[in-house]
Amino acid sequence: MTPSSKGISLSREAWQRLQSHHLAMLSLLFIVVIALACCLAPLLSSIAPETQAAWFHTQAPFSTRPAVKALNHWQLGEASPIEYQNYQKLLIDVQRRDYEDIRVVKREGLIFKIQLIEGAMPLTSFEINQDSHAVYAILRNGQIGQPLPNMTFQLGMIAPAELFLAHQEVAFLRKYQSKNAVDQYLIKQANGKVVEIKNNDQTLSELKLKGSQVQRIQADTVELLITHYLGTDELGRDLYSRILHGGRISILVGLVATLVSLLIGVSVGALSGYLGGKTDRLIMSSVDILYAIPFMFLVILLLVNFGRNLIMLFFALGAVQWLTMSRIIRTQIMSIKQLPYVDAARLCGANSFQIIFHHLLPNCTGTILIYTTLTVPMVIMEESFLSFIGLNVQFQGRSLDSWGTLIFQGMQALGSNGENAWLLIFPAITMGVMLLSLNILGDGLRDAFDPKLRDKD
Amino acid sequence: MLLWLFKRLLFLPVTLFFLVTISFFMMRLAPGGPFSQERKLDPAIETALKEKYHLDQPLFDQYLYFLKGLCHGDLGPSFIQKSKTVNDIIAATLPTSLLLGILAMLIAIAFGLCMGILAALHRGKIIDYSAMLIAVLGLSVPAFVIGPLLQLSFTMKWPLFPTAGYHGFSSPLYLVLPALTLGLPFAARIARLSRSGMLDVLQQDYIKTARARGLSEFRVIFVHALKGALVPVASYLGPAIAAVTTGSLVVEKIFQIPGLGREFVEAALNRDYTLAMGTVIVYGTLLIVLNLLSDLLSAWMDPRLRGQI
Repeated sequence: MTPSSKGISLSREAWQRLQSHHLAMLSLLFIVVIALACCLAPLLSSIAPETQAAWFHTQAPFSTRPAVKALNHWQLGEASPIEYQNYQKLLIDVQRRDYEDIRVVKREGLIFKIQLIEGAMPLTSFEINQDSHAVYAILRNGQIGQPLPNMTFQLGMIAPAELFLAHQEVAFLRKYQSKNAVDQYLIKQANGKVVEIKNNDQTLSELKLKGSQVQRIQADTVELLITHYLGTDELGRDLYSRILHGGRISILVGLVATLVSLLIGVSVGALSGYLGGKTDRLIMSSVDILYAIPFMFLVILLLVNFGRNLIMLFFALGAVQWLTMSRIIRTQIMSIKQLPYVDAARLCGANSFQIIFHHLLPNCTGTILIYTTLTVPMVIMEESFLSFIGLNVQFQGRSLDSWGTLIFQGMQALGSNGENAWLLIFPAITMGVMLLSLNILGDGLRDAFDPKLRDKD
Repeated sequence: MLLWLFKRLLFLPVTLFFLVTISFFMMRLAPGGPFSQERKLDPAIETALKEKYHLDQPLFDQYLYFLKGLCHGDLGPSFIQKSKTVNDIIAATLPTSLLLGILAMLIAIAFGLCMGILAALHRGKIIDYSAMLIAVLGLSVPAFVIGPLLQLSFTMKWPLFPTAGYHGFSSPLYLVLPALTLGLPFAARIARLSRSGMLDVLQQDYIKTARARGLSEFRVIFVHALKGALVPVASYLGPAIAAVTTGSLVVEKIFQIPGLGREFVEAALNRDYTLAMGTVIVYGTLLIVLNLLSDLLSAWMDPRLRGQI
């Protein structure tokens, strides 16, 4: 016998055939990459998904912010907050609070109104002099923009273009009483303990800073920055981290619920197909009855009434999916059990259990594999559907946000012109790619196991 | 055939009974209820309320009471939307959902058949591959992703349609995006089904015979082969309708359409027992009846199926 004519197993042959299906292999790659990324989420993103930075609000992808917490507290002689313990010297720029905000309104190119925001006090003129104070433009997101050059303007005069942002009729300015907009604090540390806190030449005994005040933090000449690769939501939570961690929930639910449906579906289908006769008719009639029940409605009622925990979800979704599985396995078993090798096994004294589990089911591996691959995306879709209508899973009082939750929140946060579109688009793309890949792989597997089925649906 | 029909008709009340029983006990056995809110009610008022809605009686008596009402077509009063009966609410919202569902199915059938037939006729060519890729895409991307994305594209970036709302037939523009969102996944499924059905038929001998007899290609495809594409679609309509009803839950939420799906979600979340039960029963009945019709339709179209059923 030459090596080339050596027989290969059915699964080996299917795998070879699958390898020539480039789209399916690409899908497999995508699935592996996304699933791995979600599994390794804590390694791939330094920010926990639930970490809030409320002052940071909704920010576009690749925006950065100083790496500080919502509340930071240093005290002489005490241990420094754990994030900063490894540094000798911290240099913190804090936005000054001694400022006033001014509103300037333009009408037909002329300055129409100058107004102090506090108390709405009208002014007739305004002077910017960088030697005695500093004036900055306030951007639409509430952050400080560029410092403004020296100038003086008054009511009725032609409005200076540099005051106004593009297409805006109203400008907001922030005037600091001193030349600097920031206060600088210096914290010296030794062995993780604070040894000195200085503000200019003043020595302080403690320093409390809110995250929103800190403009810049330098530790041993390195600037501590957090980059939000995919932007943040309205609570300042990192979208990249949330997508990865959300994927863990979605994929976990997808896999476990599919497993549950597999267990029920395969046992019922195999039993029904093997036993045949009255039992078969009874089981299949019940399956028919169950088919007509709108299961998603019952799942919703179940989750609302008996708690939204993971275990419940696994069984609820698994219970929805097993019907089709049992039908497919039953047909398969019915055709296999007539083959002579089954009779041979029975003659050798194998009991029904052995015949089903050792002789019949292994021959259904292909079918089971194909159908499993196609069930996982369906379950992921169903879980996300439930999250979308507000029934996301909860664990110890905390809500576990899956892809469906992210998509729902993204839709709500779109804004009037879709200016926050990334909050919807990134989770939608991630989930879309995953589901698409799983479906293509499932189709590819089916073609690989049975090329005759290529054009079937 | 008649026996089959008789059996299926017999199944109908059995299935409904299952559904009613499961959902009734699922709702009632859970702790809490429609009147257990954060703000504690006056005990006297609570007792009076419970008495009014028969909640003070043993569970099994409540169940019998509910079944009795159901037999008379009375689904009871709503617990949360006081002064309205469940029948009122369903009568007010069901037509909206039905209209949306029918539009979605029409879109799905039109798009799906066109794509599937085109793909089958150009098998192995670029049209086939692209149509099937679009179909897999449509299958994989659920309505709650398509909906917001359509909203983002066609109401915000290019404001062609209104964002959300419902005004019936008086302003049909409001219906376009919801119906598309609901219909596209089924268009994808129908495209795949009709393609494989069509390919099956095109290999049959009678198509060769038709061609050999010199019939025009148009006649061969649209008179002889089309039926093959339609049979699998007809048998899929039952499951499709089930999925459309589930899909309408999110579509009505996304586009703020006052339909039955939205009522159901609200009712379930607020523990409005009777309304939630009523909606489940309406949806269940619709589903069972339409499934039956779908089976009848496919048996009528494909005589080979008649033997099986």
